[in-house]
Amino acid sequence: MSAAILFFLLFLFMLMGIPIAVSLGLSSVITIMAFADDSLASLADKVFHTMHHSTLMAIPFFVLASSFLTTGGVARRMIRFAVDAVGWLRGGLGMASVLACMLFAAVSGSSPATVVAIGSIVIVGMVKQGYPQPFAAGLICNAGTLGILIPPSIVMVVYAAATEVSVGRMFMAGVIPGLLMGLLLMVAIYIAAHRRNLPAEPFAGWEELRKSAMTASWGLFLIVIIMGGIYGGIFTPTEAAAVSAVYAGFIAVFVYRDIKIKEVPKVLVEAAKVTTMLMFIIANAFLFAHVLTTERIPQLIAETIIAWGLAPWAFLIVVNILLLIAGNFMEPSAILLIMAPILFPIAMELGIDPIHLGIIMVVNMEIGMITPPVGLNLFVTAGVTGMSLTEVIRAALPWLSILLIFLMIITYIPVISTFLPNLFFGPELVRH
Amino acid sequence: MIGNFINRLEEALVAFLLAAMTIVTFVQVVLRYVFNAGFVWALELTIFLFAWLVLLGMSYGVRVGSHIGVDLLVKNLPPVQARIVGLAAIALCMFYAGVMTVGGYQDIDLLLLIGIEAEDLPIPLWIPKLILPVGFALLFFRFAQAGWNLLTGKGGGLHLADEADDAIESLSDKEQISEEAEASKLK
Amino acid sequence: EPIIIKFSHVVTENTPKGKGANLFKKLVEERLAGKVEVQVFPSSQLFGDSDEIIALLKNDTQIIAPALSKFSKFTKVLQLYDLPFLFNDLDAVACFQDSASGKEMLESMKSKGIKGLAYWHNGMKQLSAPVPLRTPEAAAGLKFRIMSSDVLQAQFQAVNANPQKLAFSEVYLALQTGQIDGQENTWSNIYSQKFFEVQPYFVESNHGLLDYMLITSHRFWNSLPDDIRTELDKIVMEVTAAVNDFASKENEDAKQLITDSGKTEIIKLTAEEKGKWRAAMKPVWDQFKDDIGPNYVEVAAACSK
Ligand code: NA
Ligand code: NA
Repeated sequence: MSAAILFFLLFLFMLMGIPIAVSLGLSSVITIMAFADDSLASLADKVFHTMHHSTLMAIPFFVLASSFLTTGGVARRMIRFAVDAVGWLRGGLGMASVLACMLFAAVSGSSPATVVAIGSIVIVGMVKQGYPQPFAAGLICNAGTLGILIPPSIVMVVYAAATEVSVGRMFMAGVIPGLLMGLLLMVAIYIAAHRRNLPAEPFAGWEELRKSAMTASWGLFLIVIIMGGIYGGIFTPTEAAAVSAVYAGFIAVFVYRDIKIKEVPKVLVEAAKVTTMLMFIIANAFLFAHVLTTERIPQLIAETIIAWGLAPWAFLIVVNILLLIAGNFMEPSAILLIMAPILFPIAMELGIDPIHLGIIMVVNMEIGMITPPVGLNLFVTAGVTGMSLTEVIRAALPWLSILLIFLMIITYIPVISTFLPNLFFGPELVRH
Repeated sequence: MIGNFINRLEEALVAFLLAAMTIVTFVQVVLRYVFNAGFVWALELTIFLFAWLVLLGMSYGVRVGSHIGVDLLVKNLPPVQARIVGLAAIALCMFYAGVMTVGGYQDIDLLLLIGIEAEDLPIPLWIPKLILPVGFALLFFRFAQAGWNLLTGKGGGLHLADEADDAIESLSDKEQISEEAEASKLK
Repeated sequence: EPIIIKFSHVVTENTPKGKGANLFKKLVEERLAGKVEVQVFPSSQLFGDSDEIIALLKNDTQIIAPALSKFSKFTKVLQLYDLPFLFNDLDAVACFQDSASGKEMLESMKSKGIKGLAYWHNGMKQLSAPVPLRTPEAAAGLKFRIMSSDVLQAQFQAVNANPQKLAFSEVYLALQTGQIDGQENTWSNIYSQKFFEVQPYFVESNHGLLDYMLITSHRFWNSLPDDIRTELDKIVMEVTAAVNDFASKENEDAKQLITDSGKTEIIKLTAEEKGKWRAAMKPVWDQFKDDIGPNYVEVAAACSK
């Protein structure tokens, strides 16, 4: 009953044109006031506590870094280099963008951060080269989900902690699926590029390539700093975001001198605007998830499914459907914390590999990032492109089908996930 | 006049908060890596700055129309109905902001009663959390303002950041700035 | 209408605390069927480390079991349990907690509205690092992750190490990349968080204690009918004994599994080496003695003789 009202209110408010953040928050507040005795103080406090999630803190920093990169000419120089390097290939820039997302995913544990960091640069670049904006936005919105599949990944750490499997194994298990998904996206771009006749430019020559590489080098060095810093143990991924922001600001103001010092506050305000818009939604999405938890809705659904007593293959279908639905409304860490402990023991009984189950869950969480109404990547993409949410959803849809195919592959070919970890560590033993 | 000043102050504050949290985190990295030192309270300070940024920024977002939403339905309604739905939407937004203001106030009230400090910073916890009722009260005020504008026909109510034109505009804006910069460099 | 008790905690269900919460639910629903219903919310589903105590005071959850270090803003007295080398083993801990002083401490947050019901063990903490920490000198200059606590901070500063605060979920990655060098935790946490995968050396230092206090609010507890409160008290006692047994066993199992994994080396300290560690960290006692109450420190120390 409370669940029905919660969802009804959410959709009603969104249709009325109430901002997503308020729709999520208000439907939660009303449901709590009507069906539970939680204090209003706790609801307000939930919003405040959203800022305690250390992974979310990467968002303002990456938004700021992108603001500096795009407002100044840093991003433009990087795009020029990318166009020179791969623009002659039909769909080349799109493929390069996917590669950029994969590289970034290899240092960042979060999927929206990947969209912000890469998307704000490459989407502009693709549009400039003549790609339709929805194509570019939808592509990055999806490729950004690699942030949680290619290690490191916060979502994997959460799964490992909830089920006591090895984090190292989970990370290792994400490598092949991550590469595979990157490859799938590139194949899709290749096909789309020929069908839709996406732009290709004649090769500009080695001299121009060398020149553009030189001018872009300060920007390209950012990738070295982030990668080197994280793997060299200098900073956490969250801190890396702050370092990128400072570095991006520094080169935009002092090296390239694209931005005057007195223009810096303007860049800050712009970044603050995007950050707040995103965080206001995320905070209310947490509130929404809190209501679902308090009302024990995910637990009830999971327990019902378990009572059906399914065969392994059917169980996995149901797990996927369940997680896809949950992914529509909740944030990945919250879903994993609630669902993993319930689903894990059943999967073990059915003889499903714990690492394989983990990767299935992670891929589902990826999909959840781009499904409405609660899809962080959608919001972030809308934020960095200025497109409307409806447009972003429509743009992401064709790419979503690739992710769904990918999910089927991952679900029914376990060896893709388990090959590397088993090779390096031997099969996982589960403690009962 | 005063309205203008407040708008300026709002912008200055969010810019400052974002800059401050970035610098605190950056300095912490430098201290730890270069000097093998650092402050245990740095993380908590960053969290509080972040919270202030978001909770102050949400009302600023209403003013500048940066919150995203779906206006598919409302856009296709005849003007009178659209206005009615718009007013109802704003009333609901005000209700939300009002409830959260009360919740934030109650939270502070409890903290004052038990009088505890923040985890790492040597300050009473109610001080950083003061932004909860204040932020939501400001949000309430901005929604009320939007409602008044819609009622008196001075504005379109909740501007949701969803115009496709916006996107193109902002893209070309960005380009313009960098091209200007490029041009000024060439001089 | 049964009375609903929301038991919220931040760890998974297969930890000592998680098992304790589930056992509490089971016993209450057997013995107070129809009168009391317990809802357990594990893994920070409802409230996290940083907001659960305040949520308890708002009556949005009725029972929680935070780590003792988490109470430092509510009372200085409980800092006692963070003092390094105060207890030799869990028997010494039990000796103190069962004493009059230990029971008195359960009431130390009465003025804040918090009622302590029992102590629950997690276990004795062990140190790990990329180098063998046989003596305190080896720790100098290394970065150790700590829970937020003035005592723990002082403890690492006493051996010239650099204490760092970090979210629990980020510790594995930070240890892997070397952004922090070492950590201190119980064997069961080290096993479940897989820290042994990324730390080449452990020392069995037993230098500190990780314990929880099962708490409720006076407001909620006093609102209960007498007979129910008495029965709940009995159940708490029973569950506490069981949790503490789980904890000892979990730690032994975990230590065995870590040894068997072959991924790390567990070093046993000689009496002399341990003496050096103790001597290096003991000055911390004097630093906090007056805040805690010198009397408590004496009584607790006597339990290890
Ligand atoms: Na990643
Ligand atoms: Na979603």
